[in-house]
Amino acid sequence: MKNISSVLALSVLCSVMVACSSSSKNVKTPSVPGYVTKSSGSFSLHPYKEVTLENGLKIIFIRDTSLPRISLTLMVRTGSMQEAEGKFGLNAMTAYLLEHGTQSRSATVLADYFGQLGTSLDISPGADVTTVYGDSLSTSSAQLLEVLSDVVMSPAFKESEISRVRSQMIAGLQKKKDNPSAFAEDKINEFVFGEHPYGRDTQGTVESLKKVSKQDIIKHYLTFYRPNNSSMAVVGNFDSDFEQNVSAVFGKWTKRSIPETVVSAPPVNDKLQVKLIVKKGLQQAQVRISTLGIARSSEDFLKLRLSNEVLGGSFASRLNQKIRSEQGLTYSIYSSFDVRKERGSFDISTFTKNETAGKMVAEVLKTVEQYVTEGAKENEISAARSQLVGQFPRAIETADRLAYNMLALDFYGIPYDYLTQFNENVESISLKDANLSMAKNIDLKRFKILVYGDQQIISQFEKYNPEVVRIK
Amino acid sequence: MNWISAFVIGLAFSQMASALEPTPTTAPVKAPVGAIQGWSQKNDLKISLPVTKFTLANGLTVLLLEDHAVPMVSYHTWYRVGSRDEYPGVTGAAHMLEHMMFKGAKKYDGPSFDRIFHENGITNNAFTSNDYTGFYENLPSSKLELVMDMEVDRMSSLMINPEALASEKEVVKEERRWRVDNNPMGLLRELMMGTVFKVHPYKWPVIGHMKDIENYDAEKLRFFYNTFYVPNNAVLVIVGDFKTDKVKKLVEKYYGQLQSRPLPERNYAKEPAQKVQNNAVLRKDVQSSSLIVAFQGPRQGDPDMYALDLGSYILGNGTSSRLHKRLVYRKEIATSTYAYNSSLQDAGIFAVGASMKPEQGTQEALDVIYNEIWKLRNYKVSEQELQKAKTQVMKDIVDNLTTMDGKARALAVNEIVTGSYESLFSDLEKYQAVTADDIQKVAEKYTQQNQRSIITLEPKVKKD
Repeated sequence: MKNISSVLALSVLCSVMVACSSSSKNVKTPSVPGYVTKSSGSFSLHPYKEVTLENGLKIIFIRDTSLPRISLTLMVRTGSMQEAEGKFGLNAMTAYLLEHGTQSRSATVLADYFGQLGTSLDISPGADVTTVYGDSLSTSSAQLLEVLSDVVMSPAFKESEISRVRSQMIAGLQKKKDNPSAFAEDKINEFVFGEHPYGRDTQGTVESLKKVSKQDIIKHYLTFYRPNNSSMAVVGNFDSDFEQNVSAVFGKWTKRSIPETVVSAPPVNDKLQVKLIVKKGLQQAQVRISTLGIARSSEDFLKLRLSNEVLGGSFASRLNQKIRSEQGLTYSIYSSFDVRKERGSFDISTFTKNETAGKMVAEVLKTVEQYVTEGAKENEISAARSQLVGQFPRAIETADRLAYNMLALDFYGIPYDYLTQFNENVESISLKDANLSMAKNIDLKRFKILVYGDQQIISQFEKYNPEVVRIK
Repeated sequence: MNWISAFVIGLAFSQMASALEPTPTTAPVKAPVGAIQGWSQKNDLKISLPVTKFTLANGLTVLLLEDHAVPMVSYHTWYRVGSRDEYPGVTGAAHMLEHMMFKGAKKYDGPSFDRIFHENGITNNAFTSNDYTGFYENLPSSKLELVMDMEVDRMSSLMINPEALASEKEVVKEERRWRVDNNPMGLLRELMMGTVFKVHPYKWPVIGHMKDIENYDAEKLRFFYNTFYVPNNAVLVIVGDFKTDKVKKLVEKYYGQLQSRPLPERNYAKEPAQKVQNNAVLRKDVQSSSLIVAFQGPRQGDPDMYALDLGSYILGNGTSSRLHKRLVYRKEIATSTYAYNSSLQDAGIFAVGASMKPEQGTQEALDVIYNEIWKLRNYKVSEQELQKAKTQVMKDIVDNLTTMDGKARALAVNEIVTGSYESLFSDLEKYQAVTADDIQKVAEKYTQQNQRSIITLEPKVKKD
């Protein structure tokens, strides 16, 4: 493969996503009463219908009859953000336990049930939200609805399953060291966000997982896994009866008042900091350069996405051209704004052989500094606009992608019009605005650099007076 | 299966059973009306896509499929060349050449490819496997002719500049460190291929050995390019928002001017049947052990492939699989387990693996795996398990057809490895026809004790 960055770029597009506007001009789904069609010029989104149940659960229905399948996505507005001190990993454990038994089905019965549907459940506990996704052929839609609602609304949290999941998670954490990229990712988040929940692995720590009790899990579930703290997307080949069934089944879920979340602020540094994590024998150094960025709700979001496209968003970006194409220092380098509910981060991610780790960091900093100080050129921003607008349709190419983006927008409190106005909004960002947004939000003095490599990297960073951590 | 080979550089190795990443973004595409027919009855599963196929006089195979879901096009150009076409000393040449395809041709020189794709709102990438090399772009439909002009340029007039090559070799060395040398699972996979294949070129890694990467020169790559990058060795697949008549004319105009060239006869060394068990152990500074039990499997197109695919699903696909239940759930000794059957063009690999928890040895897991394979040889799978595996295969096929890009890939890989994209559709019936007897027979044929290779990764004993 030539590079991984374009693959990553797409996943960023579709997860942070919430980044695009539309164009399914040839959607042929016949109009169904109650369904809305949003258009912008020649573009229109798949028709959708939004319903809010009495218990507060918001459901987005999108019909797509082109394939005989159906999917259900539940997004719960909870994650590691809602974990108490010392109970890190509580939310992930709670989430994974959903498929480890309900009041009426054991873990293996559930596994067999999903297997028979040809599918498996995807449970993804994050920092801000946790999603539960299931799909099946449309011939099995009734079974899928029944079992997914059972998992979400009636988990058993049996002691034996808790210890099984805990042991799995602990093993997963221990093995992370063998994956240098994932390990470096965790360590830079910790470095940038400190005590803020965004700074820790959503899987918790070996020590904290041992402290999570059955009572903690039940309490967390009852407090946060509530209909008035969730939204849902129903996508695919279904009819009005199915819509009513979904509403009836999830209408039985009881609501509760959701407590406010209070977390510590991330640390602020006023000079560049370098941390080296050294493990003897590593064949390559993982390099991460990050700083605090913006929240998804920031008015600078689109401007920064556009500006970042020039800096590190594609093969043609300045970072990729300078560091990879011209100097052959790496196979992959990209930069991105990881936007979240609260302030996220700006990240540069790359790797190089141990011998050139110092050179790599110096070259990256030089490239970024020049970009932030002098700004992009008109032709660069123009290309970036073409890129964002040109690739936008992929974000809504399938009904499932559209649904996921709508759930995310809803979570961030951004109107769905964002999708239909995306092209226009991108086209209207001037060179000056794009450059200003970068200069305003990115300050190299506040960068934090993490390098995970062999001990030979140490001498290359002396001038930064780095903190050195040795691990085995 | 006829999906993109498990050994393509760049694709995930396997779906680990306890994978935590959901994929809520995969979904059905707004396909042309009638794209899929007859799904109302589970036993009447048929897929058909209205593909237009033709071959130019110069031998280029072309597949066109209209899909008007969004105003975009997915453009795939695949060549029938991979690491099996290399020889010792220049391993990884096919992959290196893939990289050089972005370094300028006659009309679009130097870094033009990256720049022009970007300016025009196009994303692109490429990959190399043991058997084929693919290039693809996802573009606004208005840019189709531009992309065609660029692909024709690099199909016919690639520049291999020695300076660009020197720099790109460093990039590929970083890629190798990242995928293999600094990645224990990458090392394990490399060792597996080298253990199962002793003679056939599948024995060496697609990315090549480090010392070979260092030694490529422009002349060798040019010879490789001249030999294999010809229209009669390529498949062009275009899926998306266009009119077939118009694009057919464009293809004739742009590609019609290229000359075909005779291809060398391909005489790959045939891998002899394995007669005794092979063992290979890798000791690295890792937190836990991993193991693979691997067998030579049927080549692509062999009728045994379907039953063996289903057998692998029953053994290791998902949390309801036999191995997950025993190793991960009941015994709690492994963090994940998997099984797959990968039929490449000249031979295949049937592999079963597990990743252990820290402090766990591999013997207990090996015994369970041996036992499950023994059961597959000696007992019929239940009707329920067979149905489940078939449903899983069907669903995987549908899930892979949800986007333009997914459709283009599925068509291209089938056309390349079976000689006709229609195998994508006819395979459904072949999977449906598999019986419990068939699975037992293929297990008997391919998974005997003397046919297996045991490849393990173990933590080094730490001295301090």
